Amino acid sequence: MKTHKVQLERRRFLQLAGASALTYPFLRGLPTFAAAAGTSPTYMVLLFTPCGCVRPAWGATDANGKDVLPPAYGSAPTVNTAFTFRDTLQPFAKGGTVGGTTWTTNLQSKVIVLDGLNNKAAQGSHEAGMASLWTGQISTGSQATSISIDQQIAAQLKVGTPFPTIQLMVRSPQDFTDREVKTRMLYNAGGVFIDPIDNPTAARQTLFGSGMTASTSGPDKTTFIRKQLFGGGKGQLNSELTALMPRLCNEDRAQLQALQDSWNSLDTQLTAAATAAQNCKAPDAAVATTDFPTNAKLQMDILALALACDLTRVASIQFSTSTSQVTHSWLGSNQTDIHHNYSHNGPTSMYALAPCTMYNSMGQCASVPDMYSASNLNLYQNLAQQKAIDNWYATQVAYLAQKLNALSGVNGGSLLDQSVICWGNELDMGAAHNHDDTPFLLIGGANGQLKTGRMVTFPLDLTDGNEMLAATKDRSHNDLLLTLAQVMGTPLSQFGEATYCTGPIAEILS
Amino acid sequence: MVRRTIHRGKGQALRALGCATLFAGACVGNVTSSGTGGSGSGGSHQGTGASAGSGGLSGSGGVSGSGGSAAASGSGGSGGGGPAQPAPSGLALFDESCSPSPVTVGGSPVRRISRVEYNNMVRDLGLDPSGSQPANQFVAEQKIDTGRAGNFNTNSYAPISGTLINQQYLQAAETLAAAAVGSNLGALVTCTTKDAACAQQFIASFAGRAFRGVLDSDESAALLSLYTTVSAQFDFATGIQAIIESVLTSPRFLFVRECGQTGAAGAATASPLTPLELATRLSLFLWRSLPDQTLIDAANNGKLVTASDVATQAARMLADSKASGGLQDFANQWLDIENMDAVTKDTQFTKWTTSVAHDLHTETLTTFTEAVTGNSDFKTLLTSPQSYINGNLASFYGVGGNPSFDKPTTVATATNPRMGILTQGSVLSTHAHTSLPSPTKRGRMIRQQILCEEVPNPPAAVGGVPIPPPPATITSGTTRGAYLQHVAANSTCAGCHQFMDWIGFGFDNYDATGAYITSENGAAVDSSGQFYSMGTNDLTGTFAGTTDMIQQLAGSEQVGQCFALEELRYALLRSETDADACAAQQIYQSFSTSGFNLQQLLIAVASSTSFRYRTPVSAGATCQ
Repeated sequence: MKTHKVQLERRRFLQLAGASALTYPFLRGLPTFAAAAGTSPTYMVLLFTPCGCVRPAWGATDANGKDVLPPAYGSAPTVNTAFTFRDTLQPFAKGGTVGGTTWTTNLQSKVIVLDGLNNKAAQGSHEAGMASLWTGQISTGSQATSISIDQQIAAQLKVGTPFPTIQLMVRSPQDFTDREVKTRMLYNAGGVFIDPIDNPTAARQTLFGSGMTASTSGPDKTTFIRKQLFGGGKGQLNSELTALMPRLCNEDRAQLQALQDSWNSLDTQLTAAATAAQNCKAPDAAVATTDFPTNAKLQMDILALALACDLTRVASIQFSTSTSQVTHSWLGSNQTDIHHNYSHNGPTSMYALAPCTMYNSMGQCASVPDMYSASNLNLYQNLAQQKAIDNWYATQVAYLAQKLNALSGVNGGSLLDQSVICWGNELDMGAAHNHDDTPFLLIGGANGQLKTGRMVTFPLDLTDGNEMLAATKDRSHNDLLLTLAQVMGTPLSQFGEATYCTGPIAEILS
Repeated sequence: MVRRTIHRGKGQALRALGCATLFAGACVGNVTSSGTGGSGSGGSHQGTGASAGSGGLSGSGGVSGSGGSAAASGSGGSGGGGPAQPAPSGLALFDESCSPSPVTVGGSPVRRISRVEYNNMVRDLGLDPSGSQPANQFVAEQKIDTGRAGNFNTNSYAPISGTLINQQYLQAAETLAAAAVGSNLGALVTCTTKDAACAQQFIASFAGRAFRGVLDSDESAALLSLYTTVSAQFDFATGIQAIIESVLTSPRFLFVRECGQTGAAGAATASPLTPLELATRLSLFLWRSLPDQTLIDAANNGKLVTASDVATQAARMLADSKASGGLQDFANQWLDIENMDAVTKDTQFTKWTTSVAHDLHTETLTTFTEAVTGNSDFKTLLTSPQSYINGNLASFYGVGGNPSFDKPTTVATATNPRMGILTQGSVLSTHAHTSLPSPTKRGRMIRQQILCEEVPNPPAAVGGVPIPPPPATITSGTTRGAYLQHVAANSTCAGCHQFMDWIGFGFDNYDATGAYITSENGAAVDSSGQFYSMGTNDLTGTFAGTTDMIQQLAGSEQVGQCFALEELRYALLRSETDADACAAQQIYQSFSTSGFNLQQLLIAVASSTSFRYRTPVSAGATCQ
């Protein structure tokens, strides 16, 4: 029977992992909101990378290296528990190097390849994909009008961790800075953007405090002043806002009310974070930098430790923005253009990847195309650059996964096993601007609720009447969002556009 | 100026064309030309930067909240949407019939101060001697959805969501306050007794200034009480620190609160602003900062009541060095050059460096600022052969000498033809790709920000095929040759692209960096083009090249009206509606009568009823 003594677990884990104190951030016992003894909370990370991918290089083949074709329309998805990653996803099997950290852990058994889901709600190109990715709402390019799945889950969980959600972003100086549909992927219930923290220094300070400890003679200045300003919903700021309300008109009051509510929320968060900070080792402080790869590692380290410290159960990390303007110059001297431009150098429709060779009497495609055929790689230009970028992003995701894997959950065990990372993209194929076979990857077993170590190939949808798009998948990504809600303990019967919801994906649920 | 009667129906023009019909429904969202963050060759379909579409801003919001399914407490904030944003009227304002009485003014929402304003205000409060500009890290405002014309950042329609901005306000306040009492206490607090009386003096001056002259006794007492509690626990300096933090996180500082003079219940009509509210609006418009003591005194002494009072102050304020704050902020946004410093170009352009990018930015901001403060006129702004450059830029442009930014230099030469602000390197390089110029981006900027006409976003795909990006490079022929396919008569793209590319061709003599060229790949550049009418344009002819194009723009009444409208939008930071028609027409009348003098335009905007009055966003509010 598993012992619940923190000390024993810690020692055993450190032995197993041969790890340093950094891998186990708790220094003195557990925070008060921790999960009950014997249980582990489940953690979710939404992860975004932009501009689609080189589709024939993504995903996996069966164990013999043969492409797994989509099963016929109307049949169940094919599940392969023996598979071999194609080039782009190799880092999950082989490991990699990120910022001086090299790992070789094979994470294949913790991965679910979802090949591929139809983002039916995205009825446009980049912007539509960005707006619909985590909301499941129909968008033709405008921002969503209601809540994203992370905010929904957190609101229902109401678990009381210091932060209901944590959202981070890895930003490059080349990235768009406007606050608009291309740069934001998360929404509150009112359809207002949720802004991620895009600066590792600010993220560290927000999540782990400024490292101050209470002096022996009483509270430190910062804490004391904060308490006067907005402590316990009674501070200076609250009374000011209350005093001002009557003098405003209705819509204006809503603005000030939003500010007041946010101060109260912040108060709760900071108090809880300060408590947690006493029990939790913060990531090393790092000098602020504009270097994209350095920021990536810093943000992922912060995110991993935030989960290990149980600062939240619901997190997200966004790399760059839709239509990424980043030049991946660190990948080689051949990287001279921005990601968005490279992503357009390829086949502009699924049909080019998978021409239909046989039609039925209704004019629908009756042959099952092999979109993944290696010969399709010839349809791409700047293939080396595109694959390098795709591979780099996969390496980042694998880095985050292996970091979680090496960290212990609050009650022991691998944090990755208690989590699910959901890696999605605004597009399927960059040059096609399509969404009907969008690649998604899940990493982590969500406390055994997900059956990992498998590839799921979804059947085609031949009912959309467009035989050109012979590779349109039948399953909507809304069902993936429902699956996430389920494993997080907040099941939903629908999310986003209800007509696209058929239920969680049974093939991956235990 | 050519005077033609311009008949417009609001929003009619585009419907009459195939353009919107073809792509109606597929063209959504709101895009301005050229993005932020680098020139980015994002392709014609990409449309860069800019505002969120109509969704969250107008649809789900309102006081009743969006009725989101979640209990929003988990995500922080009320989870509600913002005030509904009305569709902006655009140039139609200048044609509508208008009766000056009673005064009508578009709905005026409360807004938070912008990042630029925060930075300037803490500077003027003496809190940021090192110029650290903490607000640069704050959550950005959103562009006003003006139907793709107009480009200005505001919080008016973007409510707070989550706690990130609160974090940022708090951290900035803590950092500034700690630094202020740590190293600058003597400068901030002039009395030396280090007691409550001294603190009271500090509150009166510091908070009084920060709150734009509105410091009531309750608030003052609350701040003193805060000081007392904190200083008892620690010391005098920490008490002052607490006051500073409280002021910088106070809604009285962060929000531009306006009620107007009459707060009758249910008032839906315009009421004049109080003098102090007007003082705040003036200093935000012209300085993007706090009012100074002269302005506050004028307000308190009954000298900021009439349009003429406002004009007097506005003129004084434009002569103050702080005017560069407001003028540069306008130029940055009007011309899309806010992120000029981050623009990168292909390595083939060996003259392009980060310092060139930065200096080009300075050139344009200085040009605009000097044009206004130097009492110049709009036509000169668009056509002048002079600019403000330094030695680095002289080298970049290939003109001789070692000039400096502090006086004008003639930049137009035989080997470097230039004409006015629109041919400056910043504008041309921002609206271009990494390696190639972009007739589409340049044409769209002219169409939107100079002509105030909207072109819808491209659709996601045409005939099932997604729109490919423009070529990154071309190996033979000119950029014009490559873009002509967009505007060929049988092209599905021509419906919209004719309105952009044919103008953008007029800038083809300037490469991706804005440097002058006469040929590409051995082929001669042809910069002739045409103003295709969108139904409302007084410019409908061809032009022989850049010079002809700019002279026609400079002579156009529509262009003059558009600039007046842009300044009004910048001053109000909200959607203009039909209720602003009279003000817009009076502003343009003053502008035109003065020979299109730039200072007179800004003064006319400040003196207008739309600036001096407000209307609540909805009726039925009690507003005292």
